Amino acid sequence: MIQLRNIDKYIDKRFQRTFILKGINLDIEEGEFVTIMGPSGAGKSTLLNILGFLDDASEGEYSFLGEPVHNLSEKKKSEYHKSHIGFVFQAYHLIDELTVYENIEMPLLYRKVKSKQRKAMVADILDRFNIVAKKNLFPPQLSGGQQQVVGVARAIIGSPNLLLADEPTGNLHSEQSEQIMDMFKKLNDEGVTIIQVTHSEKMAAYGNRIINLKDGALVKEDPYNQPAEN
Amino acid sequence: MIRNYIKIAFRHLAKNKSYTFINTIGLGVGLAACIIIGLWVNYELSYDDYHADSERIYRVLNGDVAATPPTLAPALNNDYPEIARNVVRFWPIKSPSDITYEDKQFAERNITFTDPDIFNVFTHPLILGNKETALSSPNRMVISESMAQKYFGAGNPMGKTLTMWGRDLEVTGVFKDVPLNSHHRYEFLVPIELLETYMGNMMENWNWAGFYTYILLPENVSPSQVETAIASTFNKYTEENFPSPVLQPLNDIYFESAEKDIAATGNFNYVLILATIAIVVLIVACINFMNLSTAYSTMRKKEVGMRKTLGAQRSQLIGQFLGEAIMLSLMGLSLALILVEISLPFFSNFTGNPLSMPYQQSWIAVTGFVALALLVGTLSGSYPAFFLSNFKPVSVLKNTTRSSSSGGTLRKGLVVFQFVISIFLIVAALTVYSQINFMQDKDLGFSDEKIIITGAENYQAMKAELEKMPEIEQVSAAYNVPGQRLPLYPVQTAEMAPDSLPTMRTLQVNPGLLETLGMEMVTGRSFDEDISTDASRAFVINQAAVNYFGWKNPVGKELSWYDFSEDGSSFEVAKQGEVIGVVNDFNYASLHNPVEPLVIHVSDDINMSVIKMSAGSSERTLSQIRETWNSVTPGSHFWYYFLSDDLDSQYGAEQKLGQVFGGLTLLALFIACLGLFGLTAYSTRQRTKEIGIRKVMGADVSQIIVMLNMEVLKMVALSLVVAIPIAWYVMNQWLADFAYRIQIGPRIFIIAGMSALAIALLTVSWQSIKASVTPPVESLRSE
Repeated sequence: MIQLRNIDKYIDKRFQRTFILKGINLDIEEGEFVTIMGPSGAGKSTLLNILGFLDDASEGEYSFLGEPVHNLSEKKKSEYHKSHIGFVFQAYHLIDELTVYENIEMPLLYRKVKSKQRKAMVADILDRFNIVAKKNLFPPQLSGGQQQVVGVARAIIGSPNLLLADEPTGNLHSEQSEQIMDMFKKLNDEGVTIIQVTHSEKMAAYGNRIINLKDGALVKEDPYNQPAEN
Repeated sequence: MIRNYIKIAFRHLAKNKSYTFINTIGLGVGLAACIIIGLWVNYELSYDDYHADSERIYRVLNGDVAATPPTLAPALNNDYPEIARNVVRFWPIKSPSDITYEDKQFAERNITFTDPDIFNVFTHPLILGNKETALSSPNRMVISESMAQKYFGAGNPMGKTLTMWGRDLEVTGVFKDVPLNSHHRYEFLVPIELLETYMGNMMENWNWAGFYTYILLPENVSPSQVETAIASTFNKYTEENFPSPVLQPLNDIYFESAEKDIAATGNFNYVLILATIAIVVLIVACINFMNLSTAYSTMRKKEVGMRKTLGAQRSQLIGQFLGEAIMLSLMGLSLALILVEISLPFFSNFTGNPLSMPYQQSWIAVTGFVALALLVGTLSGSYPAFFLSNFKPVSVLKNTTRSSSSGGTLRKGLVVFQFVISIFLIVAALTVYSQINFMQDKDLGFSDEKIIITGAENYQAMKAELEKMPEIEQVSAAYNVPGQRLPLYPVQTAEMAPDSLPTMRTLQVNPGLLETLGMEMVTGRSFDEDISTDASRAFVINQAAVNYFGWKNPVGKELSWYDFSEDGSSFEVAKQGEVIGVVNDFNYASLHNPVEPLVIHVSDDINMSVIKMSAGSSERTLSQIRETWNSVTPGSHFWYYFLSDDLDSQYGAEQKLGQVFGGLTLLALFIACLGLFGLTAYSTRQRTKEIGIRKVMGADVSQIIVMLNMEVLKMVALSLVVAIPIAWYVMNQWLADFAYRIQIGPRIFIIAGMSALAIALLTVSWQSIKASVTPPVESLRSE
């Protein structure tokens, strides 16, 4: 599904080039649940952003479903966002001025789904995540865990093949985190490819492969053995 | 503490450059417009108040007629010496007269006959000569400083001889030029005693309302006392029924023109209108400030919270923010003073008022400017100051308040208000502009194209010469021409009661004038040179006169026309005859007024030649006319004007109003757009997160732009809904002043609405596009 070849990401400042990612080679198959781990500043979020087309790599090749991404047009990227990829953020990134219902509905609006169908889909998701009672509340009226549930609901309402999660449980306490991870597990079982970034080994354990990043490079690719250092 | 405030204020201003920039420019432009219009208003209001005794000087009105008989002043002076010690008459000449000194000759317009008392009533300091004797005998003349320069150069004018009307007049004084802000201006003052030698016993005529009488009241005499005295003077000397006399304060003359007035007058409504708009422009600038500072206030929440936690009183915070507002408005004032300095010469030139910044005259004015800036700063700073100082420290520091929506409704409301004003001004400017166009293009019922008006000395010889030229189509003559105020004379018909003598506008012409000006006969015929009775007993009247008389078949009706009797003591029938034709209602006066009834008859008493040039005429034709003039009337100065120019100049006041209006409209729009620009810059920044999320969710650039612009669209639409009825009502009120006016159609509103919308969208689109093409990862990272 995803193939990264020699991906570099760097920032040129004055005469100095700072690498954030260097020489990343990575293959991810459909149906995998991958966890990216590493210390702060290792480049985890950058890697995830590149995978989700939110950011461009400076060098290297990236093909998504067999198509080269590095020369994809802005419009095509927008298409992929709509149809293939869902995002979950650590800070939830819900729109404060919209209700829970409207937040979840938003991706469907951009995919021009008909109003009737839209209602059915949102109702479905609300039911599935057990948040029907909260559909008319605004995000600031919810707890962090509840907000993230809405965030996940919004991410998957378009039934994406790939779900990207940037520290989805970073702002949550353990009980809420487990609830979210259970949800991810279930989605993965239904066939959604998931790539998550996390600091927590406990959360990493939900996945079936761990990628370790350090100073912008992959250090080891060992899904079950924990890294020796750190 | 103050130092800390100032430091913070400067850093805040330096950090938010666009905020500082927009506010300074907005306030600067607003203040500049206000100051310039303020100077202009001050000038318009200053008319005639340079006279030392201006509060005690009055002009005598006969009812609503400005002109009074020549006999009034001497009679008053004689019968009521205690209250009418200082009375002055003016008799300005109406068409240019030649004044000659050795080989210099000029046609002068500003010649006024007057009484020696002029220097006791009015303040015209004499540079040379003695004010008691300067006009004390008929063959004397007092001239202005610039005329002395014109005729005598550096030489001493005293005792020199100027020739006017074939008389040698000795220059016995030189007065300082009459300031431009005078309702009546003169360059040459000639004693009325001299006029008496021309007019004879006309000067004893109580019916000859041709003089302007001014009176300087003694300290303790009230105007009503004098009015009574004048009324009894009229009763004593004449049996005619005069309307009751009114004393008009000198300072009111400029704005309250009366029938037969001495000179062009100002329009107080226009002064009010422009003053109001200038203040409105300033308010728009103040609103910008309020809007932007409340919007940007979220940036300073932390500062406020911190200060409060550290023990600041709310009043101290209010003081701090007010101080900042005042600082900004002082910056605006500095910019305004620069702008005024640059634009004032153009504006003075344009309005014809010599405006200048009153720096040297009085420090009061300068402190006035600073006070204005302080007022503006306080007004626009008070709301933001209260708003900012109201933040609760706990919620601010915990960052739990929602940032974007607080005060949002008010800000939108203020933007709508700004756009209501802008749209109103656009509609108003367009209406004024269309009305002026309408007046200039309206079919007047006669043709003013290629018509030249010049003098009528030696008219027959001139006509004979000119008619030989192929470029000249027709030559005719008249006593008055359209565009001048036609005189009123009594008329009578057979149907009327013998003692009723209604007055009617009268045009005295040579046969052929109606044809030269292309007027159309409705019934009957025009004057014919070959029909001898036309000169002695024929009248042409206009349709309005037909309606006035109530005639069904006007042709052949008897009509009598009255003029002064030979000795000037009363009116008598000067011409008796019948109506030979009816001419269409052509607009001989400005389109402010409906066409009044008019009597036209043939007379040898002519004043002006009316020359119609052919389509193929050119500059050369004009110089040929000049040569012809010089050859048939040697020694007389050639003057001319184009009739169409003269008619257009009737709308000079409206034209200037329109242009100043247009300028102020652009300024208001500019300031409103500046504010909108700042506000969208701010709100798109506030919404970067939302925009990022939406893009991640699959929104494309166009959808984001539409979303961001939609809000502005709604605000402009709301402004239109509010502004249109107001503009429609107000502009119809303005148009009511014109007898001939345009209808305000939907077109003007559509243009105003579309242009406001287009300008608003242009203003915000740059921001929206910028926001929508920003990669989402950047906007989301900022969290």
